Amino acid sequence: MNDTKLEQHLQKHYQNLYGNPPAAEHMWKRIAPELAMQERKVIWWRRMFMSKHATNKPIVATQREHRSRRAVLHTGTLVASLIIGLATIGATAYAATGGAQLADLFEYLGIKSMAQQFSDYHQSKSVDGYTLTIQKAYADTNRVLIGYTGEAPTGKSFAGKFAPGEGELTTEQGIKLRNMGGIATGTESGNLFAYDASGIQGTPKELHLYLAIPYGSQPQNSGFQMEGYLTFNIIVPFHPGKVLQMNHAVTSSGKPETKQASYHDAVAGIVKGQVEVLHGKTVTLQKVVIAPTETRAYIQGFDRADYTNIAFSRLDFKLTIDGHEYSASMIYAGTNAWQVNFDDPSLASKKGQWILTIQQTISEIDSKEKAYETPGATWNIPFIVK
Amino acid sequence: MQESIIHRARQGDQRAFQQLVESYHDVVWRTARVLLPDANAAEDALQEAWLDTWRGLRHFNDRQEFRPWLLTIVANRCRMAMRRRTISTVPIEVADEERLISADDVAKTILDAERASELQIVLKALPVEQQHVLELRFFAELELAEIALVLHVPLGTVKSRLHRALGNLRESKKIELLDILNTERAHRSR
Repeated sequence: MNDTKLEQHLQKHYQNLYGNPPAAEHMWKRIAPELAMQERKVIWWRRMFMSKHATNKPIVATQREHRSRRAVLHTGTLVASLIIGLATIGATAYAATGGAQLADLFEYLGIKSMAQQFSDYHQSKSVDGYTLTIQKAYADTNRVLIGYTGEAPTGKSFAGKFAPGEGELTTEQGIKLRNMGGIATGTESGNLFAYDASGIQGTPKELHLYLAIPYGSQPQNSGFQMEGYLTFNIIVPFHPGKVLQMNHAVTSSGKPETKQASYHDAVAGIVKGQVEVLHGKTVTLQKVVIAPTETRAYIQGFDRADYTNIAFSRLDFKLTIDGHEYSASMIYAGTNAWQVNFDDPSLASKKGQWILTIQQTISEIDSKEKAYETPGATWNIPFIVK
Repeated sequence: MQESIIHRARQGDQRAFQQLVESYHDVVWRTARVLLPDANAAEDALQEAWLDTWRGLRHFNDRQEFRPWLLTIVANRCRMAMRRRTISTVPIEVADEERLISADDVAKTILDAERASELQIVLKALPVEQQHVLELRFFAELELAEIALVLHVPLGTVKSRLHRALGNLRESKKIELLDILNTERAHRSR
């Protein structure tokens, strides 16, 4: 048997054995809803990063840079957001070499009182000459925040040694808290990561947490190769937030309809399709959880498909309080309920009437190939926060 | 065109990313299918791999080639899935690379081959590493350098495994006999 014939035999055999791939569209339908969540997450952290660090410089800022930025802050160009402050803690903790600069940073951001709610740890573990130090941690009903720093041996790079994005945080009851992402500079500077605290039951005084951060290597043109974990045990005081149980159902006006929609793609040109206008759809605001790190609204009634058709239609979420609007920073389109997060820290102190508005918007293109948008379904859900 | 799509996907353009998924779906599915024992596991790993790709695009270097980079991510996800799988099941024993087919079994194998999937029996007698190289080459249609990336072995090892695998098959009388049987069967069916 010659080589060509043998290769033909093999190709035919494997084709019969494994069959053909399912349509790419099938895979895209699996990815798209998750992608929307990833996208929101990226935007959220990027926004934090960009508003405080408008250049491509590493997140570690020198004392002089802090001073020069202070002037900018005082002009009101940048708001001294609590969350931004938290995001900078890890970085500054390393630069501070003992925490002196950290106190200066909290004062400079105007969040001195909140900064006191963070606990200090300064727990270090080493592997292969690399050292990782847990500097600060904070926990409330919505998030656990952990800031840590790292050091590499002389002449070596810190980048690629640890995979903080794969770090695992577990409670003493064995509940694994979801890693929500964070800022990892990949250098010897600090890192701040957030973990979802919604799985924590009740309002404990403190959380006994077990943190495992993978270490390994990252060969060129390859993914991270994990070799083990550095582990830490920390006890973090718990700050309970407000939990408003509501189960408030609201139906959008009108009758459901299917509409032609289209958008302009740079490569594919005009893409046409159909979209469900969600008139007459009932959604339920189950609860709202308000905490310093974040405010979350849990909404039932949407399908995951409502987010997969994102090219033609989108859903925007906003809170209106005293005439001020706050846009959602992140949406988790879960199968049972959607979790909509608002990251403005000032929400934690707002009282009175809040209105959650959900607006569907549909993309269309007119006869002159000009893109425009039309409103679809709308839901307004008012509630009182005391 | 390809660079433009990758560039737009890096900027967060989901439609560009969808085009990438559609363009590379075939090759990554075939690769995952070879590396994982069932189709569901392969699709789960691929979903994770595509999300890794989406997150990782921000760090993707324009000077890199996209396809090998993507295949590496897919292979890593498959390895992780396999690792999770082997915790609860029996570990896969690594076959002896030097093991060759016993000539005494030829007649029996031919009879088996008549009843069952013929070529598969012959292939199953090959070391697992050689089977993987053949599958990645002739089912996933990967380049040898890509197979090296996916299997995490040097290119030279891939070449030698492929050479040995094809050599074993070529030298195996079974293949020749299978060929004769197939020819005879074709004649009979006329």
